[in-house]
Amino acid sequence: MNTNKICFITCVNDERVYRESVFYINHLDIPAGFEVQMIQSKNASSMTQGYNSAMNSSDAKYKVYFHQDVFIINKNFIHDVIRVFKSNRNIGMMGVAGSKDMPASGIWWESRSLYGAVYGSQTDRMELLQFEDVHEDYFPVQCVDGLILITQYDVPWREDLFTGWHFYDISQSMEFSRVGYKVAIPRQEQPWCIHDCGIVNVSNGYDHYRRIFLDEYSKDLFPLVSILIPAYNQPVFLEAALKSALNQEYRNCEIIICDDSTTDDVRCLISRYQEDYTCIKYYNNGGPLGGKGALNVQKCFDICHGQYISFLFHDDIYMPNKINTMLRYLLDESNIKMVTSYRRLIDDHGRYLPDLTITQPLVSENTKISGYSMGNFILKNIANVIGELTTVMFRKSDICGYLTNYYGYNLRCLGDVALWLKLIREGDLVYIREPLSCFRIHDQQNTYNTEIQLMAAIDWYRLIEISYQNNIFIQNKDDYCSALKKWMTMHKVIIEAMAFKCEKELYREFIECYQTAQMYAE
Amino acid sequence: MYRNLLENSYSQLGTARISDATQAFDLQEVVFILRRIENDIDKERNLAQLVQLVTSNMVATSDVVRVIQKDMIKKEELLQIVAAVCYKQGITDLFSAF
Repeated sequence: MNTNKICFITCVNDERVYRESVFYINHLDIPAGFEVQMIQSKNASSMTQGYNSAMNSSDAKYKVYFHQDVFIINKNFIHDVIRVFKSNRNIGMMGVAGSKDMPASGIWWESRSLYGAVYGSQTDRMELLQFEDVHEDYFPVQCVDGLILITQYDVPWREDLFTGWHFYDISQSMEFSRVGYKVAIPRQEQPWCIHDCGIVNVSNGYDHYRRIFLDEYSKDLFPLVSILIPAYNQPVFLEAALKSALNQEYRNCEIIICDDSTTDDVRCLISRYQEDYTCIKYYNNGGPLGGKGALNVQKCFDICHGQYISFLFHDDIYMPNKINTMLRYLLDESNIKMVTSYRRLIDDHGRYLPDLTITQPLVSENTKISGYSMGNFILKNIANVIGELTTVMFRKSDICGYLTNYYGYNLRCLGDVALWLKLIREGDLVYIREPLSCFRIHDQQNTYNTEIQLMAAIDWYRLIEISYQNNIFIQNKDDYCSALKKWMTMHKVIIEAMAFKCEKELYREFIECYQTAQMYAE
Repeated sequence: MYRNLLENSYSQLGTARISDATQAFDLQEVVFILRRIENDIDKERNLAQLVQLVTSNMVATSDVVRVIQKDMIKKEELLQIVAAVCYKQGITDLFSAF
């Protein structure tokens, strides 16, 4: 390896433009004793193949891989590069633009932490593309754009995976990280390069290679998300739910299925899928654990390993971009405690149903909502506008204790509402206008069982009462009375309708709640 | 990722409204010449080449201005440099483009 040699490597399909870029290299200032080599790779079958071939044919310690339409205008380019590399042996590769972290989409420029600068014509007009400034000698990033990549070590390009013209650069950033080197953007007093690329075209295989990139590197880049499926019979619905989980664009997921079933159907179904998908983990409970499914929900949560949680009821389904879209908000801001979205209703055949009042879009565009105002709205309107367990995504670490316990009270029916309130008492939520999941309405649900309606009524009363007592969401007497009046209005009908249809103990408890509410509200 | 974009860039440039004079010449060469001047690479020789192209009607002054506005970075500074050199050679219509 020649430590006093730098090699400029380019895949060329336009000789004239390449000659012009070489013209600029010929005008760079060359450090004393340094040798400059140029290699053009013609007829390369892919960027990675062309770069590997050139890399292996040069003994230069320093290599510059750049597009034929890049013009290096910093005449001290070689000096600057060598200086940063010599004083930072742990930097493997540098570029002039990139991102500190990779969005779950795999599209680096969608990151909110972009660094570096380059003159470019991506908008069809030459202009400065200026991201965050680099103030020190360099700034470590996750990935750099392939318009120019400067290395001081040779790491093979992944020509086994990236057989076209996209994602070779982001992949190479990951390969350097895998072997323990930093990827960085140097400080540029003025942008070092002009990139005369014209309007960005992503129609020629970009998405294909994006998927390959996500398959290969998701586990390196992104946190584990646990998709939790508390199962109870109904294997036909469960299979649709499972397929929607497996079809997520986000790759680093574990799928936990805890099975309360009374038959063997679910176990048989899942074992078939486990042959092909190692991310599926199945636990048979040997029958219902109790608590009307609440204990099974808790078990899923307790045994999962993901940093982020997304429940999926066995009869619901996800849209393919659910995890991807929601995770982005949770990664961006620690004060966002949950992300929810508009959800569509479907029937037992998966056909869309019209919205109910409660499921209509909450806002017209993606919106961050304060936890307090959402909690206040939910309790004063007796309305779970956030959605069911399937709808939401949150961090595992944001939950202490049992999911369905609210200030010591164990919810019997409205465990999801208790969970939402627990989460948003510590921060805010994001509502995404796009539908990201579907809630199935079908005959085998027990939502309209009279006992459950009574338990729900009692749960709502307790949530209001406990929130007021703890000065959370309902922080004054007016709001408290308003919430109680709304609750009484909504549940008055239960007094007559259910008096003789359900468990006497439950009914007595409800009447006690009603009488107390009456006393306060008046 | 940008490899195949180069063609887009220049094909669009090619479809821009180019004067009759410049049709005889390749506009991409004008881009290269102006960029070298802008970046102080063999500046005097490239300025002389540009003037020669304009005086010989190979390139219209309106196209020089258009390229500067679309493809260059330091647009005003470059226009002034080019205009000053052209003025010395008796080419004054570049100023009308300001």
